[in-house]
Amino acid sequence: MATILVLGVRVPFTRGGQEVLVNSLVRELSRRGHDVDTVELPYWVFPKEAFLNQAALWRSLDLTMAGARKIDLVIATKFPSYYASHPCKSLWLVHQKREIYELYGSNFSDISDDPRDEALRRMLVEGDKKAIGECGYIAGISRNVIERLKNYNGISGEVLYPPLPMGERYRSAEPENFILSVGRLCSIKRVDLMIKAMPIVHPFVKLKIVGTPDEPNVLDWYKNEVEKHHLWDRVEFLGRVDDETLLDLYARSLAVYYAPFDEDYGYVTLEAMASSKPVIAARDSGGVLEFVQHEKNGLVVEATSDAIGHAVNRLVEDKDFAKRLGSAGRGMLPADIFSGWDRVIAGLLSPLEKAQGASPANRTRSAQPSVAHAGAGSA
Amino acid sequence: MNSSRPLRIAWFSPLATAAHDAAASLSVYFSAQIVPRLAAHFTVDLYHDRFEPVPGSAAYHYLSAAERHERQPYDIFFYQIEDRAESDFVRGVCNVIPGVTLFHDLYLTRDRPAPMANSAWTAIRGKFHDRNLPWPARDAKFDVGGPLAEREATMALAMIATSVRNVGEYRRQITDPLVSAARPHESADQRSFFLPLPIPVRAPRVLAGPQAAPKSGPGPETAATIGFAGTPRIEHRAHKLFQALRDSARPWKLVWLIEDHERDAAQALLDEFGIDFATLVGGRSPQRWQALIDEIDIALHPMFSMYGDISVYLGASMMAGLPCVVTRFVQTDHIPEGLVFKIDPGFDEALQIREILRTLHDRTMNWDPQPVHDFAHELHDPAAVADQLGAIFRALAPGSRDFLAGWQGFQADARRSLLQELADIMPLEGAAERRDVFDRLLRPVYDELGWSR
Repeated sequence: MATILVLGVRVPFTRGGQEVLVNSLVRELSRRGHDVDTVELPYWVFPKEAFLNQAALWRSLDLTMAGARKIDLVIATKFPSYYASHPCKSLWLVHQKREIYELYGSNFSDISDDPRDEALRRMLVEGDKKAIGECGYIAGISRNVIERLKNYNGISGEVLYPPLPMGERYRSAEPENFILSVGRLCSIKRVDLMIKAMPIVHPFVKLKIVGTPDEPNVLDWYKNEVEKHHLWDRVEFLGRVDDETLLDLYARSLAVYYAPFDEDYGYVTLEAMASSKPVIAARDSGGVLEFVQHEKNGLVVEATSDAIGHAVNRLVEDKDFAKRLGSAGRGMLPADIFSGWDRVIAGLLSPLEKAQGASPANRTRSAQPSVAHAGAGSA
Repeated sequence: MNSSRPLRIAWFSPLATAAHDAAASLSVYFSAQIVPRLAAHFTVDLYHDRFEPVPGSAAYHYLSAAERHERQPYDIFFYQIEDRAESDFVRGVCNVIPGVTLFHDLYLTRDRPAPMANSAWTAIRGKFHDRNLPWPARDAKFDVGGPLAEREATMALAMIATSVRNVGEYRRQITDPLVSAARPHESADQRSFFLPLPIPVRAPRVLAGPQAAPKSGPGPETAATIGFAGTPRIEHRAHKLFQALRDSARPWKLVWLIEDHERDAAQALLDEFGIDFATLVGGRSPQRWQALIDEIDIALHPMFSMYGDISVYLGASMMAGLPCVVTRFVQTDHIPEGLVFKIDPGFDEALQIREILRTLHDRTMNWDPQPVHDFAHELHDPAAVADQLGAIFRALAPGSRDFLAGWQGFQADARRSLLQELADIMPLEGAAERRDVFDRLLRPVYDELGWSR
């Protein structure tokens, strides 16, 4: 049994895949008999230069002791938590500061050609190499995340897909005429494309959006689009919902829209597949495409509202086709997506073996109650 | 500096990979034609925005260039700007370390990505020359400007353009470039150059069509083949060409080279004019056009726009000695009358085209391909273009090295300023308290991470 801290990053008043991952990991470590708790620092996206201070704050913490208790291992997840210093550190990487890497130069990055921004970028790249490189075990939540780490920082790691947060509870039901969108509301998730597609979608089809905003003004922007296209009775913003409501929405949906730009992983994708629902994704959706194949278990189209609208109509007009895609998706889930925690935890705890020369005990405890969350979204 | 070592060039361009050939891009084409020729005399490191290998070359991701430059300095940073999505990353990065920029397009229809669109380049330029000026405010809004690539052109140490028109536009419009304050004695002529696009040399075609020679070959009733590489958009005058063909009393074949995404629009235009003798060929690129030349008797390259550049297609047609129809507009001013058929833009464009085509079809004039070929050969020979570019690099290298040393100091100032900002954003009252807490709490971490240097 080990004493472990899981390091999380929280944007106040928002919930997404990263919070789900941290909560799930803590639960599963606890079930296996470890003494585990979470350390979370708030994360501010503005001003951009504050990222450096936030990373430095993590590194300034002494996480080797909690009172009189020695901390055996810290498990970092997302930028900037991996800047924390500890002699026994694992990383289950959700993502780095994407604005200085693959999003650099795009509309999703705020890093300009100002020499101060270039200095910021260089400092973070150097810091990432050092902070991640010192981890005793490095893994990422998807192949997309690990490839980015290798390409941009020259650091190798394993892929550890997070098992589904609600385990075997996903179910399917007769589809109703609505498309479901789940996830944090921010520009990179591109929910606006689905809203803009609705005018060309059959008028009896609705769009239900689960999730809360974590960018300024994004909800106003979406609501403006609803106003502009007179979609008041067709688009519904549901905010945060509890587990049961979310499972029910997945079960009853016709399809799930999830077409973010270059996604890290995509809990939503797998939750849709576990609910036997087809996924509508885009050709540049990154980690989503590790699971969704066009016309096998979903539709993968150009990231335009036109293409998305036509994809929805295709499923509406041929419900048997939609059902076949959904059923196929259920069968295409990775084998350990419901219960692969043993493998995840064995990897994350492996630095302890090196440090202590003993295998950590993995005792199973009785199931813990689930945590209500605003949709799994994705990190 | 050791004058015998090859100059080191950091070359930023989209590149063809196995997964992404981007053949329509002039930057890709130029790199493929010229880099192998430069490699004998220069060390050229290629930088692009992908991680896939580039066949036959060592290439790196462009975000690694700054670090590599620190380890082993380059003499020149070289950028290619083009009005295509593949070039967007170059537009983003060309101001980070200014260098020599080749403009395939000086007028751009594409917007810069948002953070670069609000680029504070005017303030940065001012600060570079006068370090007493403040850094631009973080929340300031800056003018995005119009289609002229003013930011990219102003911040370039020197510009190269593949059209004479664009060199003239640069000299006329860019009146206060980045280096002018440091080198006031230098005129625009010394930092702006025309460099034609390279086109592989080939022998002029032996024209077997109707216009080959009088009293030989097939007569007016035989179809001749027109080649056209323009887009369906209005600036390439396809509608005028098709009007001329529709009204022509001669049999024709038309080969139209397009990009694949233009197919629907191209077919719609052909249908509108009742042109049923056209073959649409996809995958427009300079190489594809060069491969099609042997099927073409007459090449049409009309263009009436400030955007875009037809020279690589027109040049290939002229290299083959084909009779070419062009618009009398700035892009063709440098071509002597008599080597091409120049039409004036306006209401009777279609009539002018029709008459030229009739003349060529009916063999009522001689057509000698040799002078046309000779002109194109002299202008576009890849060996000559590479030599010219090499000469430009050699001439600019000393100034570039001086500049890069100065820019490095400027970047160090920027880093120090950033560190000051980081103390200032601590959520505490009073600058002194913020500085104190920053120095006691965070400075040791900054030092440990190497961020304070």
